[in-house]
Amino acid sequence: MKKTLAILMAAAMLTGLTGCQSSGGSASTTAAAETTTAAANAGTEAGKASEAPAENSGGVVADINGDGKTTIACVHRNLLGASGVNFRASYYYSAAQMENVELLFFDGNQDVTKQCNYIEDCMASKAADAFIVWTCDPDGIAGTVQAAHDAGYPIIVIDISLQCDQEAFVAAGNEEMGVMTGESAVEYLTKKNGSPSGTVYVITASNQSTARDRVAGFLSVIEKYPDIKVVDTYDMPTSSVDDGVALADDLIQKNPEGTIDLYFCMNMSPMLGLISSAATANRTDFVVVGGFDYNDTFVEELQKGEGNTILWSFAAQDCFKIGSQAFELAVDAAQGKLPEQKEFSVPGDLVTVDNLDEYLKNYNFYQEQILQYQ
Amino acid sequence: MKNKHGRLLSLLEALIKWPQTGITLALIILYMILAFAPTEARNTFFLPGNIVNVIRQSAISIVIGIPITFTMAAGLLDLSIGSLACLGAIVTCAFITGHSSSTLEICPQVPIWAAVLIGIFVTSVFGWINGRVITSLNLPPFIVTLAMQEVAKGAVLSFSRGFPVSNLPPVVMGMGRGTLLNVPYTVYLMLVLLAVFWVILSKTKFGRHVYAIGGNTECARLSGINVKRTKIIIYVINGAMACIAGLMVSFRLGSAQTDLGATYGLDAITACCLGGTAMGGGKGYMFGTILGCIFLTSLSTGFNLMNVNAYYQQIIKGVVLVVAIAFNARNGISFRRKEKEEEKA
Repeated sequence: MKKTLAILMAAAMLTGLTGCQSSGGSASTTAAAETTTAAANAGTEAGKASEAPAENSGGVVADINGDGKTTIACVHRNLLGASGVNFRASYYYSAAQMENVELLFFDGNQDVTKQCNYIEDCMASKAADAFIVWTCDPDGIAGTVQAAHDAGYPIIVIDISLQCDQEAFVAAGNEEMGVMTGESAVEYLTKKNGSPSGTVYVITASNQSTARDRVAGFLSVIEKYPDIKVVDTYDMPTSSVDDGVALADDLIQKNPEGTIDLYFCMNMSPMLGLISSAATANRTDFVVVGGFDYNDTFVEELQKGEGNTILWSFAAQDCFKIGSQAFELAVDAAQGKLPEQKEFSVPGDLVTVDNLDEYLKNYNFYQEQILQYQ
Repeated sequence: MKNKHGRLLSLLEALIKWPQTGITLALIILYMILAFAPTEARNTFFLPGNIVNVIRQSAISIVIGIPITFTMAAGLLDLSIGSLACLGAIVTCAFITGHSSSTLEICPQVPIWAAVLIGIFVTSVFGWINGRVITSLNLPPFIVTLAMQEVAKGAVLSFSRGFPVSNLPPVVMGMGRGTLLNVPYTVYLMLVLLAVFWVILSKTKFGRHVYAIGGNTECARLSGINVKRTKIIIYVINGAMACIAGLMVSFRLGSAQTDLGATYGLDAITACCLGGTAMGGGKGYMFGTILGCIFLTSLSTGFNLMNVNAYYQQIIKGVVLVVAIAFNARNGISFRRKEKEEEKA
């Protein structure tokens, strides 16, 4: 009886494992991927399997698997946070708006090997007509993506750039958002010190192109003001919230009261850490800017009002728009219509106490859409 | 004179045999490096505020390290503890706020104490399943807990839809951020848990069973110890403590993040190994685990203060771990050799 119970539980665990990895799926088969067929099969019979795939001028083969449908394989980095959730929802949303378009979704769960396996599986089984790639390791995946491109698959890269051939790269305007954040920082420093002057601490992640672009944009503004000094820079290679909190605790100790006016955070985790560490240490002598994604905690902080929070502003990329645009480009490319430009920059928002309500109105509208496609 | 020399030698021998010699030496060396570090880091590291900071950061790893000491002393392993910490935090915070994610999906709102109990219950059930599957099917703990890690991650994503659970009431954040006599509440909680589990491990029948199972499972079974039940209890404790650690972080952050706890399991195993707990079971030292946790936190904080690149920090952590384990293993071998020689004599 006990053994039966244990076997049942083990089976339940494995089922759960497969189910939970529906996004993650098995590396060996595309059957583990989530699949959706777009808005009924009102489509045509065009492009049946018997027809030879059409090759366009760019060397990309249209309808590689010749099933008459356009199948887009989305290879995802993870399912965490606003970007992980919103990119995925935007693919499903976009697929549902199009006729005869199918979506295969794979979650790499922060493992580049899994991501490579998914791409290779799709190529071997000719399950996809184009790929959207959001990688967790640009160097690790570049070879596989290049091989897919050489085999005629259109490649659309999102968020994190890849050093290989691709049809398009769609990302938030990271540098532009960095510039916006820089301007917001200058506004704060001017307000605090009476002139654009003060001390700034930069937290970056030099192993991520997005972070590098954000920092470059931020510094391009700061460097215009000689009285604003970048006291130090910390290179944080991971983006886990635990590491963010630990780093923030250490920085608060390292930089005693009055030494830093403003911290720039290249992503959410050090920003969340600084907010909680400052509250724990009762520190209100500095502010933080950056973040670059939506987070409820940021909204709660801004709702406290100026002077009651150390969050001066946060930048938020529009992941839903990035994902939708990438999906449309992938469908077009799979059907032989290659984009004329290679890089697409989707503007993000800079959210402050002043425009918070307006931002939330838009954000909540997208959330309602997203809810339907989760 | 000869007698005095002999006493000194035996004292030295006892010191070398002491399982925490390696980690104590490592801590002393680390603090000496920090004491001679560039001025800014030296001045800051030994400030009372930073000492509290190190203890606060260590508190979470100690709360995870306590059950991992039990687990390793019994010759077991648990890789799922970090994911369970995240699951416990997400479930508890969802029941506190009445929302399972920021997309406003409603789940029943209950009093804070009830939500905490629900979270602990859920992760304990996951722990119980770990123990049950390992003991009934005789599967390796490594595989089962690795699978459970994925199951728990999936459960987190299904329940939260990938979004953090936010909007925790101020009283909850007060628990995570508040202090008494400048010492965070979380440190007091850690001390209470430490005292309770130290007594359990060293002064109770259950604790002796844990060591016996780790030393030789078959002997333990033949001597009447209910091996299966003991192992299941260990995993239930792991589940419960994982939830508490997850809540300590979440209450402080004011939200339960979906990527929380990713490295808790491996960090705790590292701390236990540094503290002299044997990977193969039979030996487990709560004090050693505390020293291991404090060492890892001090290393990270000290290097952050000295502006040591995070990449180098990881290399140094790895090297220290190998050296400490090699030191402990060498001690163990020479100790066992000497015991055998004494037996023969």
